[in-house]
Amino acid sequence: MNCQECQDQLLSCADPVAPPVEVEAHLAECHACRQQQLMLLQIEANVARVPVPPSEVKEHFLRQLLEPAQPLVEFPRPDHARRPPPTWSRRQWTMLAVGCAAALLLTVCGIWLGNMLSRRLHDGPGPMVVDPGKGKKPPAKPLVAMLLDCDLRLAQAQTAEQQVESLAELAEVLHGETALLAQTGSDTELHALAKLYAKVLDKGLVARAQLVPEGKRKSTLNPIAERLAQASSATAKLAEKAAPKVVEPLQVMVAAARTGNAQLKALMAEAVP
Amino acid sequence: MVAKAQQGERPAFAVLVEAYWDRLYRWLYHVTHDRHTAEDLTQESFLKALGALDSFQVGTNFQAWLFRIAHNTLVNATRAGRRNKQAFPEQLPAFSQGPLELAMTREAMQHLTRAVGRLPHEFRAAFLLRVEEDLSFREIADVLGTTEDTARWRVFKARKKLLEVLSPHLEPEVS
Amino acid sequence: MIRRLSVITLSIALAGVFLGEPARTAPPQRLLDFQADFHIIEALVDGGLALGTEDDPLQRARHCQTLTTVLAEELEDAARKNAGPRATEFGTHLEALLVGGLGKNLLLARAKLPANDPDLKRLGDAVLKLLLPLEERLTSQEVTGLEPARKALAQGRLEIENILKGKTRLETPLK
Repeated sequence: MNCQECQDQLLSCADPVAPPVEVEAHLAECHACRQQQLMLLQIEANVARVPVPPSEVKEHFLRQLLEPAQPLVEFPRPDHARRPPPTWSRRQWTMLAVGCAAALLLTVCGIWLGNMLSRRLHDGPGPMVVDPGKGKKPPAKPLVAMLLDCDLRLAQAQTAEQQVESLAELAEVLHGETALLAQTGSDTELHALAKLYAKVLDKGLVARAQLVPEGKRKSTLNPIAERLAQASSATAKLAEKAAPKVVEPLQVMVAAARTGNAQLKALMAEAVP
Repeated sequence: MVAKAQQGERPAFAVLVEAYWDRLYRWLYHVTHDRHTAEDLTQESFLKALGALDSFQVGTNFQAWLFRIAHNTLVNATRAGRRNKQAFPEQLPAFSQGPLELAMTREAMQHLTRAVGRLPHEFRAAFLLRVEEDLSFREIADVLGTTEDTARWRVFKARKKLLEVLSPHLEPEVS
Repeated sequence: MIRRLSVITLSIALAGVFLGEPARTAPPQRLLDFQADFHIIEALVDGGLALGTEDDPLQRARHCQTLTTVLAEELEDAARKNAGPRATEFGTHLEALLVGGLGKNLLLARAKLPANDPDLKRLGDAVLKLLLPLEERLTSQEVTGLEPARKALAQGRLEIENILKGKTRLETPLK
């Protein structure tokens, strides 16, 4: 079978997805004919998407088709069945007002009492803040937005130094979530965060730091190493006061930051003439 | 359901209307390029089908039977001069989602829409019955009142024309 | 009367205790967001790692394409639920990624590769195949709260199209 015959058969068969056997055999060996088949399939798959304005008379037709014998009618309630409105004395209205005010006062007192009792029950350290090392306040921007900012800087980085700096920021963004997760005792989330943090430091920051030219290593890596040291120290302090179930992931983060710091220092030492 | 409709149960016929109205209307719109004409013809076709239900053989393809009534109604309307030829309208609703692996770009879809609209109407009618309604060439021939060979030939011509016009705009990935 | 009043007072005070209690122990929103968005967080971290350890702009563009898919899925999910603010958030993220990440690297890749490089074209087409149906869906939903998301997505998509067609060039040519 030649290409012309194959293509003619494709065009006249019932379904180009499953053409006759001899056509299939030719298609298996012929790129051009397979291309034709694919284009035809693409056309036919998308014909249903060709838009058509919606029909507006279908419902009317169906209503006429199904017109019931008698229409539904709603009757008003007879006069004698309506409930008369209440008529209260002045004394009754006054009592009602006083009662509402008293209820409101009692509710407020109850809520205040509840808050006080709740604070006593949960006595412990208040929210802790881990300084990420730059003296910054806890971030208000959503985590996803901050991570995306880092990714965009990484996508645009032109040198190894820029990459390393942005990878350090990525690690710091992750580290910034530590305090919250530790405070709320979310050990599952903290484990996951610790894993990501360690990965960024090991597979990203340290790996890329090796490509920073020796002449630029100290200026690029020293500030990052210092920040890692501070992060390690702050997380260690957090781990001392944290609930038992979150200690392990916090220690993973401490170890990752310490290792990162040590590896960057080693790279800087290599570069010293 | 058809059997119940044949016994005079209007709700049963209403179910058939629900099932086939949109598809019949869509096909008639593509053939006539006019919404009002397509709606009139759809309505007329269903009324005729309701009146001729006794002649339908239960067990055969109701859709093909209905579409044949619609095609005959269309032909009669054309002969009577009721139908005016319309150019394919350019302002249309947005494209719906298609299968992701064979999806077309918006630009390609616009070309496809124009190309289908510009097919000669007998090719277009046959092609759409095959691709959108999945009728066999035998059934297409019944609907259009022609032979199976002619139905196959019309679909062939439509596909050939569409490929010719659209291949510069398609970039299939062949493994 | 006094006993009745005492019972009522005690009941209301106890109710207040329970009203005050839940507000103190509800998990912070940031934690809930972390849990709900963890799959996105993980994808962004992995994407960042991939970008940060890659120098070739075409490969970086591929990594940006992966992130585009993640963000597009979130946008689609938000649109499906008519969650306007979240859709806007992810529409904005997508625009930023398309312009600042994928677009920038496509431009760099274009400057280095031949004009009709098939890999570049394939990547661009794959991104458009992802974005165009999503944009169509946002348009067809006609929900006011989704308009900012649609606009942001359209801007990002247009930037990619312009780059692929050669209408946008690098500001400073490569040395």
